Amino acid sequence: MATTEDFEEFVNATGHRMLRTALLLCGDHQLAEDLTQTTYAKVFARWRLVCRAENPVAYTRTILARTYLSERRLKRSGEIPVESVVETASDADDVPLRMALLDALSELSAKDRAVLVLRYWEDQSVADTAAELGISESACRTRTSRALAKLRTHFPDLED
Amino acid sequence: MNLRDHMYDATAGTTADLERLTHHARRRGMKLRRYRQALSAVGAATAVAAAVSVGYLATGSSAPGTDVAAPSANESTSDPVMGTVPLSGRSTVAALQAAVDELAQGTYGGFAGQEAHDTYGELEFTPADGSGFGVVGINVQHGSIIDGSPFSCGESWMVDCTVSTLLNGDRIRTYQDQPVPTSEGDGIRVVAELITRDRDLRVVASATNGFDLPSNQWDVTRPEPVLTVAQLSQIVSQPGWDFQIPREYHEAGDDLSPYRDFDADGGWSTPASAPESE
Repeated sequence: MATTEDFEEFVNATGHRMLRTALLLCGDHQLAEDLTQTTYAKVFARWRLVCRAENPVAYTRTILARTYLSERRLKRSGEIPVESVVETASDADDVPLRMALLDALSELSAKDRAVLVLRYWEDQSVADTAAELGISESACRTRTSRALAKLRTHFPDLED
Repeated sequence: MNLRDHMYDATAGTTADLERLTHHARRRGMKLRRYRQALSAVGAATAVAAAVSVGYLATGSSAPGTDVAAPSANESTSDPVMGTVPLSGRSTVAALQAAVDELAQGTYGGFAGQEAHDTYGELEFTPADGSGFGVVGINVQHGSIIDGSPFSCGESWMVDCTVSTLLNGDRIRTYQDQPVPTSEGDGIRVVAELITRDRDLRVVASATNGFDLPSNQWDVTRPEPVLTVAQLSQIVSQPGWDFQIPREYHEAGDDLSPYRDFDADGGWSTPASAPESE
């Protein structure tokens, strides 16, 4: 039976990781929190189905990625580029490196960024990434290659 | 350094306020649920009002079923988040379970189904009050199976039959099969049947008060079926029934266990979890 307690346990088990994924997608902590919250709200609204899914985490991640992409589409026309990203929840030592990567990711298209995050951060295969984002596998490979090439202009030593 | 390590470093120390996240997600999630329910209610109210003004086509003995719900014109049957996949026996059962879950509290078991041109699914449902169990089943078929003839209540095996027409032209027939007397009481099956020409769809839901065993025998476990005719009508009139179904039902169907494939078993003769000896 799907209960509210089950949902709370699920958020407790996955929330930190999901926020990190959202941060890589959005590049901004506030936006990442909003995206994460929206994602879990959608999950809660259909919790009885989500908790019975084969992989509730993958299901949630798909909602996260697709919500990110759809919100990017909605905001694109009136969007003002963020000149400086403010991090509020960090205790990492290498802040310049963090800023550099998030800045570099922000130069990619939303879908290219989502491809990289799912493939390299979430360890998803080309097929799974393509399915989660609703694109073909060949498009996924093309986007990966193009996005990596762009990142290498900032990180020449970036390994595969 | 590879990209994953860069990403790990870039997000290191980023932690979520889990209590706040849960609180806001639940609050917003409840709003989403209420919004969806409100859309369904608007559709149902409109359809019932129209059915009353147009007049029922009832030819049976009961009064028109004014509690018959109708699909909401505002609610899409597709799922923009996960996409849709072809309906299977398992996903039919999963969708049925979700539909029952919206209407009644209880536990489930005895999942079984069949898929070919059309699909069938059933489950054993034990209401939370613990007063026995019954089998809830659903057929999802192409509407052409009716062969153009309108619903009627003229069959001799139908009891308390009603037929109603909804605003969108869909028709719902409800009835009870002739009860089967047993030493524990009558074996009862109630049925709600929807036919929709626009979607070329026939959906038939049924509920019993026990097991319908071979040779017209019944294992009766409670006085009344586990769902009412009104609840079955709500189930068949849900807009989600289609031969394409949101992927989440497919995944939920894969998780059903134990599941009996009627195609593999080659027939319907024994219930999914019938007592081994009687």
